[in-house]
Amino acid sequence: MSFTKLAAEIWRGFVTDGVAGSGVHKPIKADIRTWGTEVEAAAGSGYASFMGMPATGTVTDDKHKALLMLPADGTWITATLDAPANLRDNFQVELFNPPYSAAGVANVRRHRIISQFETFYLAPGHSARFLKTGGAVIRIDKPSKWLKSGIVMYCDQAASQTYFDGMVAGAGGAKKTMGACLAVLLADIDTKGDNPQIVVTGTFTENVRLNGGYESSGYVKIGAPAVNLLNWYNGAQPYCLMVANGATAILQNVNFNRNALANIIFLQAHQKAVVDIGDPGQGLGQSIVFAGAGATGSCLSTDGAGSTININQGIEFGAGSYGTMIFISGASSLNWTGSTLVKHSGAVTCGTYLQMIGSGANASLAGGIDFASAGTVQPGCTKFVLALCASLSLSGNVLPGNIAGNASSGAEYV
Amino acid sequence: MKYVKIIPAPDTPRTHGGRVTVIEAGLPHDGMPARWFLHEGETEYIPAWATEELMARGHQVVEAVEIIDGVQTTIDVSAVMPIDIEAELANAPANEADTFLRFHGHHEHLTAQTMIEDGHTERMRALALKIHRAVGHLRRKLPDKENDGGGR
Repeated sequence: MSFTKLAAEIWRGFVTDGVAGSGVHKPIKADIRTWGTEVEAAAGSGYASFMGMPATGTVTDDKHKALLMLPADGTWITATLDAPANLRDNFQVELFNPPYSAAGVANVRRHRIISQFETFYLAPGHSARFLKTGGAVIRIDKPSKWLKSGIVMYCDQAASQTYFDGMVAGAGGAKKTMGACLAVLLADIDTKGDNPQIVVTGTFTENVRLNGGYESSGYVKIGAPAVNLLNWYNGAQPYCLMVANGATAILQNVNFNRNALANIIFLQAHQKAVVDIGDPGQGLGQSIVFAGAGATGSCLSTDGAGSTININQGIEFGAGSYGTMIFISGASSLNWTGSTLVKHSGAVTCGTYLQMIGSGANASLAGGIDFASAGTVQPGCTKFVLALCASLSLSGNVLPGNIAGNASSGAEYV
Repeated sequence: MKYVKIIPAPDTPRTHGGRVTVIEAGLPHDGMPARWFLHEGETEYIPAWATEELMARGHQVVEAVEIIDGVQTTIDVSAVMPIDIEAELANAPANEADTFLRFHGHHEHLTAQTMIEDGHTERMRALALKIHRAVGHLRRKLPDKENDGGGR
């Protein structure tokens, strides 16, 4: 609440405040009427008291038993609700937090509500209603999802707080893990069929499972804004990214690394999953870098029927051991864009470059993929292994390796 | 593992484009031959366990090498004639042992299992040794009507 003029000004002693020589000041009735009207309006509004809100920081309200008004821009709010038994029947609190965006300013509004029982968060654009419906029960209506197409979330190793909503880039607003970004994306946001994007910067040790069923969303695009800005290590599990049943993903500008385990699969695509390596139409140069999956590990692997891996941009295999670079299982497909660059940096030891096992395993390489201009693999690499009616179309490309490719059990090679 | 380089027999079939030679070696499965593909202009080897069969089919073995951890050493061809397949498999990387097994009728999804199961390599090698005991030292005849069912 603000006043047109404060009492100290209206009833000041002298014409010029504090200067006796300026003459005695006579209060102006119009100012008094205005002030009085404003006081009456405030006093008659029904509020027991006012809770001030600083420009930044936290306000804890643990005194009010009946009502919370929680508007804020540019900060987040903590509120402690009293015990439900103390609340009147039909007590209600409504929180509404539309996305706030001034010209040239990203969404900055954040709310945090703490009841005496539970802590939870509202992402921008969400609303929730708290109801006391008799007895000692508080019911919380399920928040509706935020309808937001073209959403870009940010994940930054340097993020200073875990409760950031990820709507702002950098240490002051990004989320700290990719998993946290995906959790928000799954639970809170309806992208209306658009492709959500998670911009990731830093070094992460994280097993990420991308589940299918991201409501109304298309491909989830994960990657750094430029090459070599995202170093992604596997955590306790033998994979970095598992694209689970029915999920779709685009990966761009990711450096995959292995630690802790002897052999891993950097990227697994399960049933009906679709993974794009590199964003289509973004050039044929380096986008994804792998660093040693282990002697029986793999870089890209389809582990379920009906999955597809599309390689749209250049990839690099860094120094280290690999069991199989790419593994395609039954009823799954590999589509490799022509003229893409494949780089082998340092001593790359690989057992089998491309392995395909299973009826309906299908790989189609477009012509002119550059396997040879930027390094090659060490001796002992089998070019390809095909079995059980797998089908490989190389289109004149010669895969790296000095052991002849082989096919058995009805597998086809073109 | 040990490998050999061959000069294919003159009548060896080629792919339609003519730049890839198709070499049959290994046990057929469901009537489908096991094949290796040699690209023209490329230096490619075939695992040495197939040497006897390759020679019997009229291919000329010109070189043998042993590759360990990416280091390739030329060895005498006589060192792979015959080859101690048991020792070979015991020292082989899992995926190469896998290839061997598939070419001898064991079409399990071995490599995929290797990716996800700890200790699979050891089980696979144990399986290989059982095969070895079953087929002797691979001094087998060329595939024929009596030997077309693989090693199942």
